[in-house]
Amino acid sequence: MKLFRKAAAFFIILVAVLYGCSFFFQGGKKGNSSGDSDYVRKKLAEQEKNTLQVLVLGDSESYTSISPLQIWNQTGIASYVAGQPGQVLTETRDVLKTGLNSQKLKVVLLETNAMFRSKGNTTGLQDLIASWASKHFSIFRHHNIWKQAFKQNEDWYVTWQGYRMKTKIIPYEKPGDYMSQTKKKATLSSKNCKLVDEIHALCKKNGVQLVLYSSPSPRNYNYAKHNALASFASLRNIPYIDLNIENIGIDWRTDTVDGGDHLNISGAQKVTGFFEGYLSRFGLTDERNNPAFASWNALYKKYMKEVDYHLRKIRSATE
Amino acid sequence: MGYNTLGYLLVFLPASLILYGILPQKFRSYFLLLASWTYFYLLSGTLLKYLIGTIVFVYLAAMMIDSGEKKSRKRKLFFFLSVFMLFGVLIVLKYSGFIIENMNRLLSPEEPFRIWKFLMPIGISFYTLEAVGYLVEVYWGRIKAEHNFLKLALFLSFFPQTMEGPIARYEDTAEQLMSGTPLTEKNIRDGAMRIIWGMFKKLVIADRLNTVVSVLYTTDKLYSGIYIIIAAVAYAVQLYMEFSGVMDIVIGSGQMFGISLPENFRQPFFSKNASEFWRRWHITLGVWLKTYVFYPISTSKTVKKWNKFSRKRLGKQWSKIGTSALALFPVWLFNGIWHGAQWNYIFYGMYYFVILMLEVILEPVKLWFLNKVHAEETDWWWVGLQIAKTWVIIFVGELFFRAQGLKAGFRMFMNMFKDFSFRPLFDGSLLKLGIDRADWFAIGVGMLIVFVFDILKEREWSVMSKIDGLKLPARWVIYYAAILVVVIFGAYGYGYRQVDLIYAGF
Repeated sequence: MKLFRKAAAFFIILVAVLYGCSFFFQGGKKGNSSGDSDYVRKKLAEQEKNTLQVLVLGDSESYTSISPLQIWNQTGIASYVAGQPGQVLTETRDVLKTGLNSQKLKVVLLETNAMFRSKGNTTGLQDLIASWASKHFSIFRHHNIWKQAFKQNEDWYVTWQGYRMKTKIIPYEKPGDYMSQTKKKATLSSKNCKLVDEIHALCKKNGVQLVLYSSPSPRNYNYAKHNALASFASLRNIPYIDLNIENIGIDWRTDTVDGGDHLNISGAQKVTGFFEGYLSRFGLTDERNNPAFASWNALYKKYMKEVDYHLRKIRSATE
Repeated sequence: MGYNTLGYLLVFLPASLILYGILPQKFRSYFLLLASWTYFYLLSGTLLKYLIGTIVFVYLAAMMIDSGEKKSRKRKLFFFLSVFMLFGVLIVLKYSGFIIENMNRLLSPEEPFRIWKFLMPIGISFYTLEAVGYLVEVYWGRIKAEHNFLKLALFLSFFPQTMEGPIARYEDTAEQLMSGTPLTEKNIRDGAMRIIWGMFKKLVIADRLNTVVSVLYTTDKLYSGIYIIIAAVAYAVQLYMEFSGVMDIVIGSGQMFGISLPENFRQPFFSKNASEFWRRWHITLGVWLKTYVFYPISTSKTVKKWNKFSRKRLGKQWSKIGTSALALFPVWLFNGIWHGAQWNYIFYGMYYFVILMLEVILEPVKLWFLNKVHAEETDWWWVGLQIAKTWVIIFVGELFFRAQGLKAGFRMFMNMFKDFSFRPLFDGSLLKLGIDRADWFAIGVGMLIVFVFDILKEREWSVMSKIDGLKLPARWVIYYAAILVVVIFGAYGYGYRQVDLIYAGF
């Protein structure tokens, strides 16, 4: 019994130590906050007022799949990706509100992976513990704050209008078709359905067209999820695009950065290429010759330098 | 639920310890078996059936073997049949695809043979070796067949060992598992510290290096010269930190229950030759191979005959070389194949066979050289040179081991000599390998800490006993500080992916 008492005392003090240390590991302005919704909102709010026509929302699948600068060069439409790692739909809603406050948006593209994420009701024990720990002890969430000392005032990640260029290739090598057809339907939690309804209502109120899209990702999608999303969208009359089914030429040997979870620059180019055509149906304006958007052209040139360099490397690696 | 996950460390292990501690001593072994099977079920669901099937089979086979007289045909027949069956299952599940694929390639039949894909039970390579070891001991008459099913079942399924070993010997651990040793503060303290140390090695160093290793090996065509050396060193260090780190977690978990599991690593990077390296790296696999492959072959009639013949005809040195080759070849072929159904693993085994043979062949040259320069084997410069040579051997071996196939291994090896320049080490190129300056810093400091601790261990200076000697407040401060280091500097959460246990894949 003495042993259990001592162990209990040790754990109580440990919890107190972790809680106490958490005060030094906070997000926001000072901390490692590139993954936080407050950081994403801040960056979105910094965009010139009333310049953006399209806003992309979602988790890491969003900011690795659509490149606003590529869309800009091809169509002259100004867009921005306000995605964040592991974004939950409450955060998506708040980011959207920020966007609506400062921009006259026409289209919102919502990546759907977050619709299967449910922080308060995770089924896996691991997720449950991890989300509980990071919710109550910010030391777990912001433990990387020490890395700021090495950043030399740079942003944590360089983003191109919210797009985060991934340049590695780790092929997806699992055999078989990850989208083999089935009549099964994955479960969307009622909480998440309500949140998307709220986002939809916000869009409607502001005259914005909401579009749901699923980025190509064998690790996150399957046909049962497709069925669930397709039926959800059709019931509400929201356009839904599943790029796991659309043939946009994704090559899983070269187009993924981490074995089928996210797309690298090569994959993102293909997804973005699809949206260049898709967005034309919404009558958005071409601003390429508008002097107010001169900085976009300059940024595009810089962006293309990076893209060319990395695409050359990717192609030579796979020849 | 790997050993490095929150589910294991914060729920499964503590809950098991509490229940184990509460139960009366006579029920503790039953509980350990229940916990072990639950753990295996959580890992791989239906694959638990394979483990239970193996246990039942080994239990019955050992009794059949033991029922025959020593050296009788019956005993021999049961023994070979049961070992054949055990390895047969392993071969079908793990190697059939590889064998059929190569047959198709070699024979190019009009209709290629169908390649069956099986789910491979996690840990099968480890518990199969433990099971075969147990049957051999029974066959040799060193131990009696176990009549207590629970004892054998627990030996083959004890949960901390399930995924990556260490490959224990029945006579070393079975009794301890059954004893129901009460929990003690010292065991829990030391076990927990060992777990934290293992987490440090895995989370702070190995998981960070994993990104660099993935980039360099997956897109190896992009890299040459110093990058290939970085790839070889990074993977060797990653594997050491990861595998020895997981072993620390495993052995620490066992220690908390009062069970002493065999060590698998003993500062391998201080080895002076390849042979010593394999006595310090994955020790339990080495001991298994030595006991159940090397020893039976080197004492077999054929080898004895060769020894007699060659000593007369070829002299002592060549006789020794021939004997070594006969006994070492199957050991290293087995070692390579055991790691998996890939040509680069087989090459890896053969690579060490050749290196070890060269060490035997060049032994007289080494002695001649030392004599010539009036030096001793213990001279610091000679020791340093030997350690450096062993590092080169290790790094080249791991390069082939990790490469995406044998062809890629040779390509990377050849590319090492192309466009060689030290510039990428200083011009920021290392920051384009998937991790940033801060990550490199954490890896460097982490490696330095492990290096210092390894030196202390090598000199038999126990950090744990020094901490044990401190008063409680000082001790607890150290524990909290160690936990905080792992929590703060671990590569997890935003920007990192959880890295699966490497050896669990074997």
